Amino acid sequence: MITLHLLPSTGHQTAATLKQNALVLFDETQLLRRALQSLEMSWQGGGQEQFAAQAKALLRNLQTQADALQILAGRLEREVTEWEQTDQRGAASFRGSSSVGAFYARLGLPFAGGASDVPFLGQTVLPMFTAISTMPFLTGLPAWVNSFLDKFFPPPAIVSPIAEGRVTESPAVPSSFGKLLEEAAPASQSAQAAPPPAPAPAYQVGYNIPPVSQGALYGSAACLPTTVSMALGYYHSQNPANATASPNDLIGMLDQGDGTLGRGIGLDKLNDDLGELGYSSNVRAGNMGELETSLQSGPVIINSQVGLMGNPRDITLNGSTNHAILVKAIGAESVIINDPWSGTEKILPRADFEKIWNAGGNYMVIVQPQAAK
Amino acid sequence: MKRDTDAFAFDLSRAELYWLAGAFGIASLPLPDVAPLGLSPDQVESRQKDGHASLLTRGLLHRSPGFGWQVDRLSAALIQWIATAPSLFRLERIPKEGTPHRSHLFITGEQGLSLEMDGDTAHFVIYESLPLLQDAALHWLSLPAKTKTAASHSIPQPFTFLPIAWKNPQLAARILEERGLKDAKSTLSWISSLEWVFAIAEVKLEGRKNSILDQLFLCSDKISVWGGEGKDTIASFVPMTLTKISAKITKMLN
Repeated sequence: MITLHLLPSTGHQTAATLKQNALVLFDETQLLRRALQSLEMSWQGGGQEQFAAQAKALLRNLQTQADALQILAGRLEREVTEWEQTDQRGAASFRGSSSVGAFYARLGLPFAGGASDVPFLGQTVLPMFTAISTMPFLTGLPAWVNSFLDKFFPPPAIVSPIAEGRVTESPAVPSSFGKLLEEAAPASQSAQAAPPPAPAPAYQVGYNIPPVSQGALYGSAACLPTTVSMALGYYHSQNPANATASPNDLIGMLDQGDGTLGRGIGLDKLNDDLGELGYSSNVRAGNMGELETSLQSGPVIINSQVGLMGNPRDITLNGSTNHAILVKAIGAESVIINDPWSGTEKILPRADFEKIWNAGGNYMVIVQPQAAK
Repeated sequence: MKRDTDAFAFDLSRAELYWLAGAFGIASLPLPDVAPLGLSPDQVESRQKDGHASLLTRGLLHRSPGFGWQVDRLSAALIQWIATAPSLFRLERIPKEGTPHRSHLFITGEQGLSLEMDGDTAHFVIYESLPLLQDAALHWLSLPAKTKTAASHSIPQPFTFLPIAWKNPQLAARILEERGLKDAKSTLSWISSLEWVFAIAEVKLEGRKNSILDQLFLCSDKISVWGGEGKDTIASFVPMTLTKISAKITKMLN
């Protein structure tokens, strides 16, 4: 469970800035389009056709980004308006009943029952954009209390990124248009794919599982079934008697209410379906030590909280989207994962991995053949 | 932190509750006491700062690297349990001599929670099952081991009237007369013999406009226990056996 403090006025300002930037990008794209058309008319031969093709691809890309910004601005504006309406409804309800509350508080009658006259009404204690999450800090609680708390704070649903399904991605076109475009993208914000891992003695346990892309399945929110499918594929490769299932097969097994198209699927919602396939699935919170122990028996799915970038798809360390990834190996310095969003294998510095796992509530999904339990 | 096999006790200070409420955007907490009124925003902020420091000291709050704050999930669950409960059971016992005692009971699924305030300390007890919560409620009543049958009596709003009658029998006699209740003398004599009055009420929480869904009054002179029900202005008290009281409270808490 995460609580985020944000003033509606900040949301409105951000939406306005996004919209303004979208318009600027749109105008600049039009200017560039006209300039390219002029150039096309006066430049004949000498690689003009190849240049024109690359320029058109770039224009399409810019247009897509401008559209994406406008969509984001609209979504943010609607979201913030909804917060305000909800807040106004709450405030109206409070105003309408305050006289009754005051009456009972004054008389001290037993019929008042319930809420005290609380002085911290509306008093927030945290600055904007401060996230609050819950963690099991107390140890040694009775098992039934832990079980109750597990039910109180169930594993989060996996939520798709904001722009998915709304913006048509342009096909990636290799470009040599302009020197700037040839430069590498800034890597500081991104969990960039590392070079393909060589045989890594630094990892005590590691699984050779090819990465699979979730693509546009389930409204581009199929990270959980994709990671589960990768895990099943591994177990099937070890023993053909173990069932395998594609992400699409697993989505087809979902019951009503297990997930929401375009939003995601709860971490525990495939448990019953995996049972039918002969697997056990256990969802729980843990620490790095427990994750390493679980990894001894097979690959482990974890819930991370990351940013999801499009075109090309990649994950970033700073973001608030719940995202399932498959952990294949853990070393002293790094962790090897299969990221279904980008469909690639990545080596993350251990600290980065811990950060995104920690932000995702430290949840892990341990899928194993039932015979192996 | 006290551990039993079937009940788990945990304390939070009022300042800690204030900070947690502010952090989770909770505007109202159903605490079983009269909260301090008229605090200025500065005073509230000061208490919340105290609560923040206390939670850090107790290891119930940690800064999340670059991400905000992480709150212990038991503390978070307790405050959210009471803040989001659609209803609660309010227990109040007013002795003839001494201080009134209040407790709130909350139920979610198979688990129960009791909350009492001792000064600025909130005592939470989570019960593994509802029968354990029911037992705790009966224990809280401190009923006599045996009861004897006795005559019935009618009085207006017992929780307001009985404390007045204990302190001012003349005023009580006038109220009984104005209400047209018979046998005022006998009723006053009965009232003076009573040692305590107790009420258990199921309260529907609707912001500050709370409503009583069901309630039971009990009063005792240490020998007999009388029970009265309903929301009417006049409550009729009839002698009740321990079995009946237990059955009634168990039914209410189910």
